[in-house]
Parts: sequence; C-alpha cells; structure tokens
Amino acid sequence: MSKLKQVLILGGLVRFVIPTVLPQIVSILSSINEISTPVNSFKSLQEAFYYLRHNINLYDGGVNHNPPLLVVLLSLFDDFLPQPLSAIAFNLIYTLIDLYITTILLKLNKWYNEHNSKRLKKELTGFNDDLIASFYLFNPLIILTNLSHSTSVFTFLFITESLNQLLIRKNVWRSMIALGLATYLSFSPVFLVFPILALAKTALFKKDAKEIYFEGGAIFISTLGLLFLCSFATTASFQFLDSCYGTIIMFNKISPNLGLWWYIFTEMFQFFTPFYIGIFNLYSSIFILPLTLRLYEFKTTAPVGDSFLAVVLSYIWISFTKSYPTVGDLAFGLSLLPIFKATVFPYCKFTFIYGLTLLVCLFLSPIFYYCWIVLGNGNSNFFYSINLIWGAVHIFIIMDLLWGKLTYDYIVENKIPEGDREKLRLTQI
Amino acid sequence: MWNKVLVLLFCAVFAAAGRYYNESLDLKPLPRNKLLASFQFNVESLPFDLKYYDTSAELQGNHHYTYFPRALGPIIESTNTRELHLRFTQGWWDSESWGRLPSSGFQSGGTGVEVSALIEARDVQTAKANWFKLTKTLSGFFCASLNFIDDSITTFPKHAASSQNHTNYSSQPKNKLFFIRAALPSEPICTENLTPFLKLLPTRGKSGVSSLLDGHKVFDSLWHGMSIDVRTDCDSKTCSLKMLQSVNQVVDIIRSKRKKEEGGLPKPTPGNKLRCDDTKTFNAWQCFPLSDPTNLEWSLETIYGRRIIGPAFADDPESTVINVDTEPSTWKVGLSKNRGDVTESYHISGPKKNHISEYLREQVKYDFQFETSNSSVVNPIKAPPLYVTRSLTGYSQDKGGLRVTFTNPSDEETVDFVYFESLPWFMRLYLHTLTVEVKKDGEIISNAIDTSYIKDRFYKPAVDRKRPSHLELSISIPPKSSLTLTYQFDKSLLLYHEYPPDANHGFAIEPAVVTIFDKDGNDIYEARTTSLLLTLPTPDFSMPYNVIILTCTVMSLAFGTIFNLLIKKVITEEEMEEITKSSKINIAVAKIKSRVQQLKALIKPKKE
Repeated sequence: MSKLKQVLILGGLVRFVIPTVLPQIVSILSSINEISTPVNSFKSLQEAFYYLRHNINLYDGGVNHNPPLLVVLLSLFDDFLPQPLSAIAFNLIYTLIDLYITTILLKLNKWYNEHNSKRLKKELTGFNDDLIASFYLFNPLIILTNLSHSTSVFTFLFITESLNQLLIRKNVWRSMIALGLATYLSFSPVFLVFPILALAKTALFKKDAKEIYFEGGAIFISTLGLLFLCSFATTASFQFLDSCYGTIIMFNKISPNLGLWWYIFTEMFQFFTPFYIGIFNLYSSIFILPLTLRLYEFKTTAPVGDSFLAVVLSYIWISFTKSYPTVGDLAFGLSLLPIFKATVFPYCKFTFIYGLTLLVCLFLSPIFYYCWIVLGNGNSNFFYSINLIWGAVHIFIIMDLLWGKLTYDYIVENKIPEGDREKLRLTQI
Repeated sequence: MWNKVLVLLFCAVFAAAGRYYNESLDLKPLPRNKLLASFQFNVESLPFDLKYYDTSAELQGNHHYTYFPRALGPIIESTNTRELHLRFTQGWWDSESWGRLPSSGFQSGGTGVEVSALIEARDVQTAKANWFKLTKTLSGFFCASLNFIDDSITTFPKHAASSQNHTNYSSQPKNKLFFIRAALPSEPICTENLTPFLKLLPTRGKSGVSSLLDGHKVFDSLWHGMSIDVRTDCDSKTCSLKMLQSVNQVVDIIRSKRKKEEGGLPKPTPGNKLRCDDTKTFNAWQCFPLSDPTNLEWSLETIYGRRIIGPAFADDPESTVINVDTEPSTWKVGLSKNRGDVTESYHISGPKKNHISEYLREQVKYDFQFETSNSSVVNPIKAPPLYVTRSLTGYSQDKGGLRVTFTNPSDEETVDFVYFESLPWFMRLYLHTLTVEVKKDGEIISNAIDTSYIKDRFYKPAVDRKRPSHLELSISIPPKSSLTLTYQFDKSLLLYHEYPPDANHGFAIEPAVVTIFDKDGNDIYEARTTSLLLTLPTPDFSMPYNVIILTCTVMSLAFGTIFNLLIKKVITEEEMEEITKSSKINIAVAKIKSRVQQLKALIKPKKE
C-alpha cells in the first residue's frame, strides 16, 4: 500500500470511526465557540431539521442561519433513515467530503508546480502527495471542524471544487458555479470571485481576458440568482436572505467567537453601531482587489506574480475579517500553504514565530473562555485578548507570505544567482 | 311631590345595588398555623350599547358605569378590550401542604405581574397597537412596570388561553378576537399596587371587607396574589362589564401574633418563654425547641390590625358576606360587634358546622375570633390534580437546559393539560434536544417522544429582540405517573445597554402555565411553575473605550502592513542607502552640518 493510500485511509477512519463510536462528540464540538458558531453549527442545522419536520417556517426564528437548499437536502438523510443510521450517514458524508477535498489538493499541488515550472523554465518539486494529504487530513483543526459537522466544511468543498474545475478541468463556468454555491452557503467566498477570475486568466491563457471576466461574472451572478430563486421556491419567502446573509453582513448574532468584532459591538454605544458595521464590511473587502492586482501574472514582465497565491491570501484575509470565524477557516487556508513549498515558502522567515503564536492562541483561548463563562474567575477581556492575538496571527501569516513572495519576485526579476540569495538583504521604498 | 319622586328614584337605585356589587371574605385555616384569606369583590356596570372604537373615532364618554370604576371603563372601551386579566403575585404556593390554589388557580398568576387581554380588532397590527396602549395606560394606573411590555415578551397563546372560553362575547363581523399575554416576572409587588387596586372599589377600602386591606399586612404573607378580571357580558341587545377583583393571601398566624404582641422587630425569646422539649435534656443551658403551639387564640384584628367597618353598603343587606371554613371539633369561631364603647360577642360556630356564612348587616365594627384546641386539625385539604416543577440545568453561562416534571397524584384519572411556556429571545432553544421520560412507581415506562403522552405541540421560535419563544404542549399523563421533559438552550450575549444595572444578578424567566382540562375540553384548573433566575454571560462593563482602541489598533496594524507591502517597491538595502544619501533632506542636512563646521572654525581661532 502506498503511503498516500495509508494517509487517506487513516484520515478517513479518524473522521468516520470517532463520531460513530462516540456520537456525543459531535454535539459537544458543535457547541464549542472556537469550532462552530451559531451560523454554521450542526446544532442549528439539526434544529432546522426539527422545524422542517414540524412545519415551522425555517427562517421565522433566531436559530437557523443555514440556507434553505442545504437544510432541505441534508434533512433527507435525517428523515429517511432511522436515528443511529442517519448519524452514521452524516459521518460518512463529512468523511467523504474531506477525502475529496484532499484529492483535489493533491491535483492543485501538481498543477501549481507544473504551471510554475513552465513559467520559470526550471523544474520545481513540491511536497510529495502523501505529505500534502497529511497536511490537510491530519491537521487537528480541520479534524475538529469536521467532527463538529460544521457546515463550513461544505464551503471548503465548493471553494476547492471551484479551483479544481478551473485549474484541472479548465472550465470557468463550472468553477464559477461551484464558487456560487460556496457563496450561497456562507456569503464570504463572494470576495474570492476577483482573485479566482484573475487566476482563470492565467490558467486559460488562450482565451481573451474580457471574455473570461464577463462570462465568469455572469455565470457567478446567475448561479446565485438561480439558487436564491430555488430557495424562494422551497420556502415561499425571501426571509432566508435576511436570516442567512443579513446576519453575516449586519453582525447581529453576537456570541463570543474568535473574530475581532463581537466584543466591539457588545461594548459599543448604540449610536455608533451602524458606522462600525459599515467599517467592518468595507474592511473585509478592502484588500481583495489590491492583492489580486499586485500578484497578477502579467504577460509583459518577467515571470513574477502568482494568481494562485492571491487566491490563498485573499482567503486568509477573509478568514481574518469575516463575521463568524472559526479555527477551521484559518486551518483550511494553512492547509493550502504547503503547495507553495518550491516558490514562496523558502523565503518566509517568521513561520516559527507565528506557528508558536498560533499554538499559544489555541491553548489559551479555550482556557480563558472557560475561566470567563464557567468558573467566573476571569472576565471577557481575557478571551478578547486572545481574539486580538488570533487577528495578529493572520496579519503575520499574510505579511510573511507577501514578503516571501516579493523577495522571490525580486530574485526572479533580477536573476540573482543561487549563492547570493542567502546574502540578499531587501527593503522597500 | 318632587321630593317623593327623588326618594323613590334613590330607593330604586339602591335596590338594584345588590346586583351590581357584592363582596366576600373567605377564611380557611391551613395546617401548620397558616390561614388562607381570600377577598372577592364583584362589580358590574349598567348595561350599555357596546361599540367598536376605531382609532379615528372619538370615545363617547356619556354612559354611566355606576359601581364599575370610572377610571378603568374608558380605557377598556377605547382599546376594544373585551376581557382583561391582571395578576400581581409574590411568594410560593406550597401545594403539597396547602392543596389546590384558591378559585382553582384562575385568580393566581405567576411570580411578578401577568397581564392578558382579549382584544377585538380588525387585524393583528391593530390588536397589538391597542394592546400596547392598554398596557401603557394600566402601567400608569397601577404603578407597575407594565410599560416595559413590548413585542419581545408578548405572546398570543393558542390552547392555554386561560379563561378564554368563559366569555360569551362574540366579535362583530369583520373583526376578530385576539388573546394577548405578557408577564413581568421580576416585578416586585407592593403597597403602591394595592392603593390603586382599592381605589377601583366602590367602597374605596373605607367599609366592608376591603377596610381590612392594608399594604403592610397584605404583603407580609407567605404567598399573596391580587387579581383583576374584567369580562364583557352580553345578552342579545346590551352588554355590561363585569369585574372580579380578588386578593388571596396565606398568612402565618404565629408571625402575625408575634408582631401584634412584640412589634415589628423580632426580639430574642426570653428564657422563661422558651418552649422546650421536656423529653430531651432540658436545663438552664440546653433546650430542644418544640414546634409551634397548636392551641391558639387569634382574631382578624391580630392579623390585619383593624376591624371590618360595617358592610360595604349599609342599605344592602347582602353586599358583604364572610365565609369561614373550619373543623368544628377543634375550632370555635366567635363574632364580636363593636358599637363605639359597647362590644358584643357571641359564638357562631356549632357542632358539625364545617362552613359558616355570616352576612354583615349592621353599621358596626366586626371582628372574628378564632379559638382552637388543635390548629393542625383543619378541614380536609384537596390535592391539586397535578404537581409541576421546573428547574434549570447546566452550570455554564453560555448554555443550559430546562427540566420540567409533571406528576399526576391521582389513582385513577388520566390528566390532560396544556403546558404553556414563553421564554425570552436570549434563550436560544434547541427543541430537537427535547426528551420525554415517563415514570410509574419509580420505573421508566417510556422514554421516547411518544404521541400517546405528548398529543399536540405548538412551537413558535424566538426572534432576536423581537419575539419570545412560545411553546405549548398538550400532554396527557396516566394515573400515578410522572413525566419529565428536558431540553437544551444556548444563552446569548446581550449588548452593553441591554443589561440591567445589576447584570450579574441574573434575569427572571417567567413562570410556565399549566392549564388542566376535563374530558369535555373545559379548563378546570390552572397552575404555574415558579419563575427561574437565569445568569447570562456578561462583558466587562468598564471596557467600551478600550475595546474600540485595541480592536482598531489591530485593524490598522493589518491595514498598514499589508498596504505598505503591496504598494512599495522592493530594493536591496545597499540601494536604499544610496538613495537616502541623495535625498533632498540628506543634502539639506549635509549643508547645515558643513555650515556649522564653518562657524566652529571661525569661533575657535579667536579663543586661541
């Protein structure tokens, strides 16, 4: 058995066997605020199933924030299978999704190295398949997110599927449909449409740029429109828009999470709240276009820029600024980083520092939360301080990757020989 | 001639008075030296032609209410309220030893204030508008925080609409009747609520049984409830407003006696008055206290500090009645009439007289004396048809659970009831976690969600800040069994300004209502659980400014770093040094330096 197969089987077993043997782990994890939020927890999904079963309007209440089609589709498993079987069916679905994401990551890794080898006219070797697979499958944060049956797993699936369709299958349409689905599920991937369209131009270099952007945009918007209409057809009202997306845009489901914003809105004088809602929304989209443009693979210059990196950086930026972040969001971004092993990664200087910061964050966050909520010997400021550091981890990662990329571009542009790269000291003006 | 007509007219009005007003006081000793006193006041307005008032139409204030309070009538009519139920209750009714609630529980609310109304309106919006108008007016009227009733605590009960079927009023065509309810569980009840209550009575608390009611005494009880029920009663042509006011209370007689003898401040019992158990070690230093004495002598004056001032209306011989429920073998009841300086007393109890009714007819001060050889022997206590307890589970401030246990004490009869619960929006209920467990003689006979126990359910989830959750379960419990419901919820974090001044005290959760129905679907008994105290997660209230500063620092740090990285050009440090050397500032600095050198050179030779 090859190493890759072993990794896949082991990763699959962890995801399937644990919740099957210990069914209560799903409900425990789905109420941990670092792993799932009111917007994507399995608990609220199950409550939505309950509403469906008892003919209660899905969106006439403050618990369910999952889009209607997801609820209706998943409730089929809940309805047609008896109790223990339906839980096992969910375990299986979530396991399969993660395994599928892994296989796509392997393909993306291969594509990235081939693509850049071609551009740089130099053979690049990335990590082996089994390593790339282990980075995703054995990432504890990804495992926890998966075991909690958080619906953000579906978002990860459609984002990777969008990249898969674009880069491997070379199909913009299907890529945009997948991204539309991801947006439909959790709104924030909407910002990825710009970097992914820029990536489409790189991947399908034969096509005309305008055509790609126009078609892609149109397909994306019509997918979303169609999904909304289908949702309207299933629920007979547009109430779901407010419940699923209004909650995300207006930041109104306040519960402690890893994000920067919940505490500011709790503490804010009511008068300023609309202003800060505007600021936060502006902030979450502000670097998407600049990142896309700065890392765009322009034809005219030397082979600098990296549209794929732009997608990943935009994703991490979204994870930093989104309204209901979980550890899974960052973990998914981190799982994409090993793909850059041959290009940007060697020039990242601070991996150790932010790796440690991340660990400290992950250890202290539940402890401080426990002190505040259960023991009552700490207060909310303890947990909030970890939120700030969690934000700082994101800044570190984006900054380091970006600086690594700029260094790498400088080397490529000025054709610095292998030996001088170590001595190279760069700055910006 | 005209004088005679006037006298006749007066006589006619007073003859009719008995129909429009009567009052009663029911006294019932309970075990362990407690007394249940319930005051009932019935008022009825003159028949009038009921109209539906639009918001645009002016209220015509031209009809006469007679004994019905002039203050309440226009409020009720202008909001098209056909029924109004207002309850002020405090304390805990010990149904294990006191049995059924007075009036089958229909006059007792849950802890705090509870208000419900049947409002006639064209649509829900109008009904709600009228409802808020009604509660705001009542708020001013009763000095209660009813003005805090808003959408977030208002519900429209479906099955458990208490006494909804008691009215025979049917709405006009095009209109509907809306039953609306709200409760304020954390509202304290005190004298300022009693004063307007007494002002509603035609006697104004100056005569009749209401002359006993004094805030200090009414609220110094183990459990007390005030209620006001207004109903619209219609025959084919005209309608009249009927109001039933009641005050029910459970008094601790030992406490009342002690306060009467020693005053309000409790003092240590002197040594010679200690009641010690002779069978145990008993000397100057040791005393095993005995329980309360059972041979007592007390009167209404002991409890209320006053006597009843005559009947409510001197000319109506049947306006005021006192009912006493005692066990004749151990209790002797006496009546004393005080005419200025002459006091006349006689016994009114007799052998085998369990129930004594006494009309007050003379314009004297009445007092009832009770003498008992064994106060623990009382008329048999009737057990309530159902016991219910509700409690919070869980220990953290971010989630918890509710556990409700219903017990059917009956040996033969199955009890059918509706459980009504309205929880605030900040408890995010997960009803998919609902579990049901049925026990009989301590053995679990079912733990599945079975339609044979929960017959019907109605659930309306809460909407944040807009609507409470509303759960009604129609349950049936077989004899000698108990049923336990559990379900989980998450607690929301509130906004800074939504927390009350003492946020860590917790939030009162309104009592759940249990309405028991007989086989024909008539409600026969109503009971409430206790209110709950829920603690929510609290932020640090001293932080607003710091949070804004710290969060914005992190945000601008991210913005600044990434912005710099994105827009600046990458060069080596050597190039950077080169560039800085030729920059304008550096040239300027170099010029200044050389000038200073020149000056120094000029100064130095002079010194030498």
